[in-house]
Amino acid sequence: MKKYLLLLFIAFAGTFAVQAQESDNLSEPEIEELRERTIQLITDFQGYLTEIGNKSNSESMKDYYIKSALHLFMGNGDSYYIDGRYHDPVIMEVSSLRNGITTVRPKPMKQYLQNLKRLRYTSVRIEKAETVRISNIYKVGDHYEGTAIFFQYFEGKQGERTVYRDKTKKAVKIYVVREDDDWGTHWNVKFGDIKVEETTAG
Amino acid sequence: MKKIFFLMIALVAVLFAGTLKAQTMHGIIVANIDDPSIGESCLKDSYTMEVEMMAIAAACGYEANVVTISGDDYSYSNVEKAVQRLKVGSNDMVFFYYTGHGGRAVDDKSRYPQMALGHTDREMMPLYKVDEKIASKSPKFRIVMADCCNSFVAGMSAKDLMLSEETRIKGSAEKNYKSLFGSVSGNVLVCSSSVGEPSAALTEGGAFTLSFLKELSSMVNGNTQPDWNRLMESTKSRTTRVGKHTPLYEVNVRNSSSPAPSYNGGGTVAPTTNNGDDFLAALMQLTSQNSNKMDRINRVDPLLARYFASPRARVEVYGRSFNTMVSRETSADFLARVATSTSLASFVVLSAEKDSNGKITYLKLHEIYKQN
Amino acid sequence: MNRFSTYLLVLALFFAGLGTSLAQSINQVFNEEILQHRVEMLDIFFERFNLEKDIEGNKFEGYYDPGLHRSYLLSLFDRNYLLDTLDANHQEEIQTFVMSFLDAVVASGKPVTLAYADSTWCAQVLCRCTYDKKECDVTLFLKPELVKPGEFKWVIFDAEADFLHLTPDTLSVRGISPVEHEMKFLGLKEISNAHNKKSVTAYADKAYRVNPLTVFFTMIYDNKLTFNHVLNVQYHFFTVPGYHFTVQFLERPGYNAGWLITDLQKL
Repeated sequence: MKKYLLLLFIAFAGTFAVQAQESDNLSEPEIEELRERTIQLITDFQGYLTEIGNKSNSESMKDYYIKSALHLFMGNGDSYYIDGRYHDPVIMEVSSLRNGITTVRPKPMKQYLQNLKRLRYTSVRIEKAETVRISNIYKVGDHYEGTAIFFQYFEGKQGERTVYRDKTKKAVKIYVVREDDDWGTHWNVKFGDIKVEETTAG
Repeated sequence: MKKIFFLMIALVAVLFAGTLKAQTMHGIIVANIDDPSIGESCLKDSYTMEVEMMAIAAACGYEANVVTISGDDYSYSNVEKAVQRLKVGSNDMVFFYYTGHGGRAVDDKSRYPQMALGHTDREMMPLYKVDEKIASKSPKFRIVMADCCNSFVAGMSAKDLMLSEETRIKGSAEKNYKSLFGSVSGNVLVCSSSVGEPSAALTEGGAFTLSFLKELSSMVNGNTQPDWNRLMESTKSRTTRVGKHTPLYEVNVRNSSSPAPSYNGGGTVAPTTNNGDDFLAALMQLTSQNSNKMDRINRVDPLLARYFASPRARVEVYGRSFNTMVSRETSADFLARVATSTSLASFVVLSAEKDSNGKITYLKLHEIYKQN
Repeated sequence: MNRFSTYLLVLALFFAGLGTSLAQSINQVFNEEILQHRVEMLDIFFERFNLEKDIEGNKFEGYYDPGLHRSYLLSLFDRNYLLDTLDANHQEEIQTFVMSFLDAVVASGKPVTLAYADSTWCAQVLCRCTYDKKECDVTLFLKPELVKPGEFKWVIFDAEADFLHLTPDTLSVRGISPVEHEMKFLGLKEISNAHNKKSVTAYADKAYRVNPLTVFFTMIYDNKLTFNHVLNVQYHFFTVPGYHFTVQFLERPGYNAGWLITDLQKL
């Protein structure tokens, strides 16, 4: 009898394990919809950058946009954990192209956004391309990862004179992670590091 | 002399008032969501069509005035009142959409069916009568569409009809939406099946409605010049293939002389939407690119206090299939995001739960984005 | 006009049929048409190779069109590679070769498709490292490996660099004396002295072959080798029966850019 109960227990335990695993996986249609959501969030992020760099916006308004922008990233711009592993705060690679040479420097996202707010130009123009490319989303342990590519144009002026302009192609790491909130757990799209892929003269 | 001067000013003001008033897309969605056999399908149809109407309004730069008649409101008299009460400007568009049971009498002269808005024969409303009534209000452009189901077709796969994406209006699509809806006048009258045919209701929605939306999406996102005849023909082919019934349609459309207004980066919603609820209108104002940015941000707290039971009320955003939750956040975070977004065009509220004070404790919605 | 030229013409029209749109976008900062055509991600290369999605990222529907599939496949070639193949001396031969590849992919009724989970592709990654305080280049070979159903990871299955072969510095090492067994192999201490250690593999049996990947891992493990950055990535596909093609990222202006087929070989 004991052996029978033990077997029964193992059978049920297996079933629950499978069910738990199944609920940890996203279906193909769900992944597709989350990919689309990612494109929307990238569009939002690029809009935030435009507003943060906009010299006609007040400091307090820019801070509001900075807060909205950081909300899109893992750890809200602070260090974070994924799969139990520690990660430094998300970085944004910044490039500058001078005399045909591109210099790329990583900056923590919070610092990057603060710098963007305070750029020493009289006017700043940031434009985005409509085209955003997103890779497949791949399962990694307890979460999903992907990459997206977007394009940005930057122009800084002193008065009427254009001091600097370039076009960059950037790649952003995408995480689809389970987050806890007041109502349980749900999948959420968050961004990781942003890398410069290419910089050309504007 | 002074009197003549002021009279002339008044006359000029009156003459220009018509052209200065924003164009409106009046939408009426009638959905038999409580029917045990087709209710689920009709519910999906009502959501997908509401999304599409809001997207059309956003892309064409129209104010949106969309009313849904379903559930407890589903009745002959409510539909009659909604059509009668339409206040339509000469540059406005009207889109009437019905999903539910339909039928026809043996001696019906019209090819188009009657909509079953109740359980008795007196509650059957002929589709052509709705078209006539709306025509009498002289909108610039009207569409009257019915997806009438009188049988549920089990076991059909609608995978090729799945609308699994978010609603995202690309720059090229906006131009095509305007070509189809904004820069035309005339009318389109269509129903999902020919005389004597049933219509297929699938769990994802009506076969005709899904076919129409699929073909519309291909056309607005494509590179060829949009055209109503081609749209209806391709919808007809797809419906015939998937639903095994043949839509009927009439297209009387021509380019209108008044150009469609430019998209102003955030559609507006006329005060009466979703049966008089002004929440959606307030939300649209929050996302409007016409508004001062600081004003939008400053509106967050008052809106939060007015409409939500608490700053931590639950807000869930769903994708186009309405099955996948793509975001969940508190009402405070949601409004903050909406107030700062530069690309949100419109919303469709899928459901809302309220407390005894009428304040929202739970909101479920779909977002429509504009990508450029 | 032969088949290859016909397809080249289609390819030209494929890229050029945007004249009006190009004119419209001249005043915009970005040319969206060009951005959409570029194969910016390898996943996009897969989607176009398999005729799953079009240039704008919309899923293909309806009936399979082999002609359209061939056009998409041709658009995934580096145009310089195709033009080079038009060397007058070998023109017809090369054209036939590329066409036969297209035919092999589009095999009637059942086209060959690429999938991430396939075992028939791998990555070749040229890395800049530091070894012995000097910069050096190491080529790593990686492939996708199944972790559990639905989950993959890239794994390194080979490494290549001269210094990883531990080639003996000198061939004058005699090896261990045949009488060492009476000395309790006291002479083994010679193998790690300054003179001999660079020829240590000469002390192995003649069938022994150094595994460069093991050497690479050991050097990393012992902190003797550090990885600096990636210099170049290319992918090799053996998925189409009888063919091997190489895909590289070509960063240049215009439509024909991104991940493209830069070489094609018959197996």
